[in-house]
Amino acid sequence: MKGLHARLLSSIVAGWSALGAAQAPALRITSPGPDTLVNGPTRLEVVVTPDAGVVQSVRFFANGLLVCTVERPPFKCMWDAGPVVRGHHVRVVATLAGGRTLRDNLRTREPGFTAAVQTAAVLVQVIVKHRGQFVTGLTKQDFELFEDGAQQSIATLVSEEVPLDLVLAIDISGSMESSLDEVKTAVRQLLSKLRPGDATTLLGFNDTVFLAAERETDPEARSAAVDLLMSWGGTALYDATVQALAMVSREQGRKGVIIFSDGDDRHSLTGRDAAMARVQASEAMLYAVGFGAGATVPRLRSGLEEYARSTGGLAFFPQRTQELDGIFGTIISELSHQYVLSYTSTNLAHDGSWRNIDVKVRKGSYDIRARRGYLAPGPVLAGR
Amino acid sequence: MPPRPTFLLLPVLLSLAGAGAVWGQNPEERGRLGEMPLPGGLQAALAAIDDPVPGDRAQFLVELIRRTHQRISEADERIDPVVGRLLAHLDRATADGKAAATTDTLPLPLSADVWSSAVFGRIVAPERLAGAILRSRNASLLYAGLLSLDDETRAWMERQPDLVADLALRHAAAFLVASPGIRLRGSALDVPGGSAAETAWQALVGRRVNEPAAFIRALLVQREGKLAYFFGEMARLTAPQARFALNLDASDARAPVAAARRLLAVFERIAVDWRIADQPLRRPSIDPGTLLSELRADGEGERQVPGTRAFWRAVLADGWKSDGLELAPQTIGRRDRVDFAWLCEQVFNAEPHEHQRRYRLVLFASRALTEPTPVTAVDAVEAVRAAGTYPALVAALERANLRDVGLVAGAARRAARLSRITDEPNAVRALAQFQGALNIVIRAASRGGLPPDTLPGIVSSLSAVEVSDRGDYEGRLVAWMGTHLRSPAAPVSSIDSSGIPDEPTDGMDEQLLRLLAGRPDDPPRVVEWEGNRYRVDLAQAEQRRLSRLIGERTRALLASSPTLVAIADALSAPPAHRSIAREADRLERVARVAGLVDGSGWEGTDVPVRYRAAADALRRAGGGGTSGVDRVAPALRLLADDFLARGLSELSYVVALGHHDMAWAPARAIAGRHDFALATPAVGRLRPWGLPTTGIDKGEDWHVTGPLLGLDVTLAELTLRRLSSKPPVRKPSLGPEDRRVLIDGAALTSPVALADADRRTLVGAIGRGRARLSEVRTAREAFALADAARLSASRRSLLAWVATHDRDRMPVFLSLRELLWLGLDWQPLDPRLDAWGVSARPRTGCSCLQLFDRRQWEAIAGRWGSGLLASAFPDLNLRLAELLEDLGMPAPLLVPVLAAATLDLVNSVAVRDRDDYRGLLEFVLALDREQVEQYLALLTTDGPLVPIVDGASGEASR
Repeated sequence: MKGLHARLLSSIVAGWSALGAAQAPALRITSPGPDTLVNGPTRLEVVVTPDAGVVQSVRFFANGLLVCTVERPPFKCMWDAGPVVRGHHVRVVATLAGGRTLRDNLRTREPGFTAAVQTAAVLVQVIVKHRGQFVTGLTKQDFELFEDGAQQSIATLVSEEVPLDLVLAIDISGSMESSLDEVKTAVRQLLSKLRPGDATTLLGFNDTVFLAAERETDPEARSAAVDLLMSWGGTALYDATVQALAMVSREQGRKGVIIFSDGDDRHSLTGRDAAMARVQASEAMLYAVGFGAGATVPRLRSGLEEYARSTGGLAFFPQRTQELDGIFGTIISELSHQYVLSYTSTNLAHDGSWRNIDVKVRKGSYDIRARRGYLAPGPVLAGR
Repeated sequence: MPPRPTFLLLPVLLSLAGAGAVWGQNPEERGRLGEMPLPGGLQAALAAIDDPVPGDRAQFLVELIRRTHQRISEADERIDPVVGRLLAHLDRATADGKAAATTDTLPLPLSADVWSSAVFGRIVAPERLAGAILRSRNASLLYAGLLSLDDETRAWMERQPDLVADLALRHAAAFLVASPGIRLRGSALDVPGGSAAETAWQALVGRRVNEPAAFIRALLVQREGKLAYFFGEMARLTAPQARFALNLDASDARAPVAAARRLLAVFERIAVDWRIADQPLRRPSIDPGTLLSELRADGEGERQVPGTRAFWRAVLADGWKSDGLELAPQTIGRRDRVDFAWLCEQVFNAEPHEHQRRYRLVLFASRALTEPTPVTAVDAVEAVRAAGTYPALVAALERANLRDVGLVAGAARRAARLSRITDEPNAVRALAQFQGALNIVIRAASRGGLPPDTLPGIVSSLSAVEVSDRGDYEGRLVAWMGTHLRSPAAPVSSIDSSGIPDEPTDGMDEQLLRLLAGRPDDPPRVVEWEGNRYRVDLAQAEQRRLSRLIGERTRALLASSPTLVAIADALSAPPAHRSIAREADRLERVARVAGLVDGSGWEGTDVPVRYRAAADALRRAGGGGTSGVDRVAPALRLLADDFLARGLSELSYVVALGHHDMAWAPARAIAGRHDFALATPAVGRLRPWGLPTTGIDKGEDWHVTGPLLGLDVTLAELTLRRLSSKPPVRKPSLGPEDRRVLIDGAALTSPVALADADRRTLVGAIGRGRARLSEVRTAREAFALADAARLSASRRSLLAWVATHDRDRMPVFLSLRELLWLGLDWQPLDPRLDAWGVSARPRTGCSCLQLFDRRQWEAIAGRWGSGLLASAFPDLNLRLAELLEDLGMPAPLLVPVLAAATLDLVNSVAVRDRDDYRGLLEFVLALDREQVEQYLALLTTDGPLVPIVDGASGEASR
């Protein structure tokens, strides 16, 4: 069968070669355009002419980094160009049957100034329960929101129908060797409970943070991403936390971050306090799962608890990996019942100060969990 | 339970030996490696053991043996799981009859008959021979040892079944250890050192060289294999090295025997815990053989050990404790030659924890010293001692090629003075200033920001800047910075006539950034790649990186420190010439920018309090109470010291933190955690001069402990660039020490040391080496080529086998390093070419790059956990040199390309055991132009490949 396939390919190549005199194969980037200002989610796309039949793979690079590899038409994928509008180098390499490669590259337009897209809105994820049960069906009129005691006008409310943006950071350090297989099984279970349209970003971290999947909605691709996780190296929990939070979508909607770690942090450049500050500034609800030393060493345990508490999330400390299924199920259930409120603060000062948030439901007695506050933007400074 | 060799059937089987063999060596070429079948073929065997490295029939079995027997042997000789899988596969393949269909064969030393009769004591069918060898530990070790013999010796061994049987049964491990030295010429053994050394070896072994079988037995059986170890290691030396080691040129005929006895005692001492029978593939990390190989040689290959016995006694006498010199210069300089055995006794007869330190002192002396004279003796002793007492200092100086003993001794005296500061905050402040300034100087030189010929003067003057009795620079180092580290491109407008900015500006910060970034090419170099034109600008890329790591909110500490000194100077002027109000105003402006007013960034220090006291005193004086003004000036000079110390510490981290996209925390925050470890018990004040280490202490965040010097090497992993953020497809298998060494090398590589002309020399030589290899057709030609490339005996045999049995593997049999030496023939290497090498630190203690000279890599094999394997592997750099040359890219681009390629190597290479040189090599050989183009693509966003846009519209070219 393999031989037949090879013969078929070679005959296609031969046929193409015959055509070659008329039209040599070529690759051209069709998106983004060279005069495009690029930021945020960006479509990368190429066309291969005269025919894409003999293309084995197309690799897309942005700023030198591999973004994706596509093996069949249409040759396109999404890439997050980040919040700042600036010039980027997009490079695409297509590999043809027989090993020959085609390349194209372009540089997107430089704006001539540095521009960052910032949203002034403050997002608050809220969980509302009554006697242990989720309360559903609330509208924005049912909520009251206070910032440093001053009532704020709720602009929008997003409820459970909106797809979830989930970031999952799994400790893959060497100490996870014996339990990683079971953890991966539990993660697959968790991912299977997501609804169509929910997106998952999967990070594996040891002393480096790896991106196994980015905003992936395809269940098969998500499962394949879980397969990539292997245990080795040390632990950089704080760096992973900062990066996981940076991966959360900047768009309005339901968001959750799950951090699973079994060990002490011995490699993070980020300090413990700096990581906590970043957690407190996060718009996403953070769920921490401590395992092994992460569950038993008081300092680690309290750190994970504080992570979760400050964002309105929860912390879990299973003794055995078999408990993970239940824990992940609880988290998914929580995230499925999130309300997301947005408001524009009445305090317009850009003073970098901490601002307390208090969320209430007008009628009834409820258990409400939400982020405790946020850091206001700092003063605008002249760049270097 | 695997079958053990048995000899009950020996007499019967021996009679079969002469019956002629289908497998084994050709009878006409006695001793030459023959072949044996691998049932099922090589690819199936590799698949059975999940071996991801491209297959190599010549080395398949010996690599598997190495992989299996690196661990300590088990009492019950359980089969290694990998070997077990292979044996099961071989059994299946043999049973299925696939063996008949395969044409794959493996090398076989000695005939199949001898293996049957002498080793296994039973007839082993050829297709079962490979399995039988693998099943028996002794047979495996014997196989590996036999590969190290040459044809003549193997031919003789073929006629010695009793000896072969004895080796297999009792001495396989010791035989493997000694085998590189076992050579038969005619009817006698040719021992290491040649005929001049025969008396010495005969004295140690107790047998004559013309009784080869008896000699070999006696050699292997004595001193639990330690004599075999000594013998084998001496065999790896060149003729001049062996002559020097064994004192063969001495006029006294008894000298070689004495030298050999003393060296044997040293070898025994080093290997006291090594049970050779259990771990024949292990070696101590250092020994006299490695020491001798690293000693500098003169033009004739003679080793250079400078100094006299008195000199070395002075260096080694309590060297790490004492600052005084015990011996007068006249004594040190007196002629009193050092012989190698004596030197080894000084190094290795000390307590084990001292071995490495003394070893490195000797090697530093070999690199740095010419023969000391009474005039230079004191400096020479202090300089060599400094390599042990202040290793980070000497490493930093050597990295900048600063080895003059006067300069090193001067820096060591400054280090000694700073180490005597008793008050901890004062000590931290002074250390940060001195080490930070030295860091900047050395980094600037490595990037071309400072001309190399100015370095000795700059460093000597830095060492000469005095501290007060309390250990304070009192603004003197601030003044030194202004004088010596001013970038020629500094904007004149920001500096007044005295060189001191009137108010806080980015003046000195910006100047230092320019120095650290290096000079741009003039005219700029332009390259074309994939249809686009790029300006190559490493300086701009580096300046951009540094600026981003510094961040938007600068406290201008470096620029402000001269302002503080200027205020202090103004306040010291006669009352008629000073304006206290003006100075108070200047001070407040400095303080506001630096965060002193609200104390931000100065947490945990008393600096804001001291500032407030000074500001209050000035305010009172401005109101008419001038009595306290005189006390303000010294306080401000201390504040200037604080600013400089903090500013240089932060800048040292900025330099070391790698690409800004990967720095998850600001340099300022990480620098704030730096710990000089002055309070470390026992080590006391010397810890700030040991090499920096990273980690966490109880309950603290990750930080660096030790000196600021060498920070960029310690944090080198942060400078590596990823092509993809995906996890690697395979769990990294390279050992942590080898990983560390390869990464260090990427950090040590300097763009200004990389010249296109040197690269052409290297690439040309590699090409000539490749051409010579391609011309080899016969075993005889292969032997000649192996000798020219100085291959080990084992690889010499295998090269001949590949040439005649597996020609497809010929082009990849030699490493790029070996091809280089082959191409250079016997020409000496221009030292400039070492800039393309790999970190020599594990081998020599020097933070410098080396191409690893004409030595067999097997000489450093078995020294696990030392990083030596990687320090003998410059092949990645050499391959990148070839590919960058092919792409027409400037040589200095190796630095950023290496940052990406090294990460790929250390994360993705498949090494199957702790000495898997070929695993490393195969990764490098698979590197192609397209992969390097991916590395280059990384350089197109933030430089150093700067796109050239068309026209004035600013539209990017396609």
